Amino acid sequence: MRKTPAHFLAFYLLPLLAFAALGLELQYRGIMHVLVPGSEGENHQRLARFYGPNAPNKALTAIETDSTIIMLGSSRMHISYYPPLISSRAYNLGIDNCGLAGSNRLLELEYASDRKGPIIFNYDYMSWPRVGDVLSYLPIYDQAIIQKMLRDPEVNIDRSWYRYRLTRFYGLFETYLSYYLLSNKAKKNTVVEQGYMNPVHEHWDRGPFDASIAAREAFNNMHRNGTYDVVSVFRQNELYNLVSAHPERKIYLITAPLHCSICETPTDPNALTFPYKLAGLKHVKFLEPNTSQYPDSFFHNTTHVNFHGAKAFSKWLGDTLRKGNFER
Amino acid sequence: MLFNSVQFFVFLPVFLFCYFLSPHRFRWMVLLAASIYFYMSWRPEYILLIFFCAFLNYFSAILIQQSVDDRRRKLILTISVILNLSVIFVFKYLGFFTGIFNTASSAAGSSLNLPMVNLLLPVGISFFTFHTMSYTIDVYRKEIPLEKHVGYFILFVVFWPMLLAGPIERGAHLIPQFRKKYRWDFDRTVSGCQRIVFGLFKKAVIADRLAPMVQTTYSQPENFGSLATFTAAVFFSIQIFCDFSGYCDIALGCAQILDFDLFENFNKPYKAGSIREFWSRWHMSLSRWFRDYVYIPLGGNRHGRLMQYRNLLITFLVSGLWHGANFTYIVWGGLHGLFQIAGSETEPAKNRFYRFSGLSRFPGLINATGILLTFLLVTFAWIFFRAQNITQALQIIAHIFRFKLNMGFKEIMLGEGLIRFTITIGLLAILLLSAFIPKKISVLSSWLLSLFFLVLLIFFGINDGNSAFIYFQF
Repeated sequence: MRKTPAHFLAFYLLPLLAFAALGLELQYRGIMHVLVPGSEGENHQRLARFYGPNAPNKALTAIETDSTIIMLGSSRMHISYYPPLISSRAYNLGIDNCGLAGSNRLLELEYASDRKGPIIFNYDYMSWPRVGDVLSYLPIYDQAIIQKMLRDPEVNIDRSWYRYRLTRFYGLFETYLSYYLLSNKAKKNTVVEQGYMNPVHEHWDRGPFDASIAAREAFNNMHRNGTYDVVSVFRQNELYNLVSAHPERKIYLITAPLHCSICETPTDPNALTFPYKLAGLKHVKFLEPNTSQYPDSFFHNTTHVNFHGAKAFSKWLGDTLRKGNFER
Repeated sequence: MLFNSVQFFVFLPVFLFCYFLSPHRFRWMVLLAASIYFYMSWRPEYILLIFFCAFLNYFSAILIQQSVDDRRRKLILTISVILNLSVIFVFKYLGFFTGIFNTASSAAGSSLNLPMVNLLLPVGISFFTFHTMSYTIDVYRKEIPLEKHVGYFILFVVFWPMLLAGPIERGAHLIPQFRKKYRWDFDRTVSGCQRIVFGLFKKAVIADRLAPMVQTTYSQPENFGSLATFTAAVFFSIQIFCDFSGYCDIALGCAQILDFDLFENFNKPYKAGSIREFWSRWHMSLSRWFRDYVYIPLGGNRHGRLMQYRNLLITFLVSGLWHGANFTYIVWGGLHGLFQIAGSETEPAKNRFYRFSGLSRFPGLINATGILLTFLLVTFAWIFFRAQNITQALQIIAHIFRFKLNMGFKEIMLGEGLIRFTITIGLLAILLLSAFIPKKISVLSSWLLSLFFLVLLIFFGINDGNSAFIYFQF
């Protein structure tokens, strides 16, 4: 029998492509339903938990709806806010390297949810046009708000593989498998609770901290002439408009502890005045901790506390929120 | 357009659909349009450079053919070759030689500095200039007939499967195939598909997986011990083979589906028992090009052993420079030349030693030793090829030969996690076993093999957005 192109299509190519599609589908399902839910503490897992299609925290009881506290921000949020000391219903969704370009979108996503509880939003005096690791968003990629974020020219990612459901996780199977098998909960000396994740060092090492002080001083010297990193007024306005459009949800705008050496770093005046502008809204409270009493041993570097610092700060924050004792 | 991109997997079926639906007399036009689009999807304006090279050689060949005077023919050929080399010089080597001139000028205490020109290197420039140049030289030598059809000639230059990184074709081999009527063949198409899948496996699963491990070690050799640095050097040997031969497999597989027969570029190169044999198995189309257009015109092996070695060394140094504008490539080429000369010189002594020691009774052992030694020498030379500069290469070599064997678990795994490293070793074992797959297999076996590699590609392929083929930079 003469083998025609139809034979080739029917008996060779199409079955091969069908198996390829099946493999990609299995990869997608495996990552979405097995690997993501299992990897406690990673960004993608934390976001999927609240905003994913099968989010366990979506089906909330009335009490949970009213009292769940969502905490958004950058690495300073992730590392400084230890939720168990703030509230048993608080959940940390801070993402490393995520500036207002990403945090604003996550806030938008939170506003679109059924929750009515307060939101803690970490305010950084600097703003970067970044959203953190793009892999964090893959499990919630279909959400229109996330699509909007990834199309943002500032974000600048190659979306070709992520655009299609079947190829979304192509090349990432091992990455997710590693997250799953080497779950952070299982890692030694790492605290993973209510979205919080930070290594615990029994002995504070002065060396890396001093190195960060030296780097900070060099940075400050570079800006002695009064120059500073300009913040994006566009992103600030975006945040303002978003928050003012949702008066039904209380926002706590809080700055994470920074080492006193950073006080000498020149800061954009817009960054300094913005929290007060936002706090002008009735449903927004602005809190700035007094960290001048924090010893050096509370810091990992000049802009991030370690677990000891996080506990001290979170205890203060939890007490303040419980007492409702806010000082503007 | 990369062979391992989403765009290519959209381009390929659309192109095949249009190609097979069009009547034979229009097919070359579809192929030409697709090839131009293929190149322009990278940087549209650089297509003008290809057209310049194509027309330069097209008209040079016509003028050479029309001339009866030998001196005039030679003059036209010389001008054509100079212009071809000028194109490659301006885009590839101008910055390099300006840098050398400025350094020499500063060292001599002169204040004369030439302005540095940083032009973006057109992808595949070394390949398409060599294609076109070989055609003109062949017409001059009267080895091939003149191609008058301008469409076929441009197609010879821009034929998309081989446009970006070869194989380096010859007019006599490829141009007649554009006239040939396409005939459908089941086995050939199946074999083409299998080759594409296997090429993708080599590139996306093996080469792209090894790349970050090699990169980590080469960028911070001080953090790694001797064994880890040596492993990284071996991994680069595997990476570059899988990267380039993977590209060639995809290129040849696509050409096979289109009923085109391109030159093979690889024939199990790491099975070579000597450096001479290695070059008859590695990047074969380039080796042939240098043999025919550099080594033999220099005199080849016709004027005694000393002249032969000189010609060999020059050919390898030029070959090194062809790869890139950096001293590392020149050293890499020079090393291969020296290894080959040393191999020829020690051949009689080696044979005497084998006879004297009785080892000649164990040809398998001699063969295995030859393969291992050749692999180690090739790996040593690759260190220069991979390094950013000579200092880095020497640093890597120093780390290997320091024999610092104390190391941590993470260091052994070249900065990768346990899971990824273990999977990598397993995949390398599969790659090794794949060398034993016979060339002729049944359709069912071919289908099962393709399925197997496809599954590995899906679950273990790397997609980190940084997976251009190494040879695209040449």
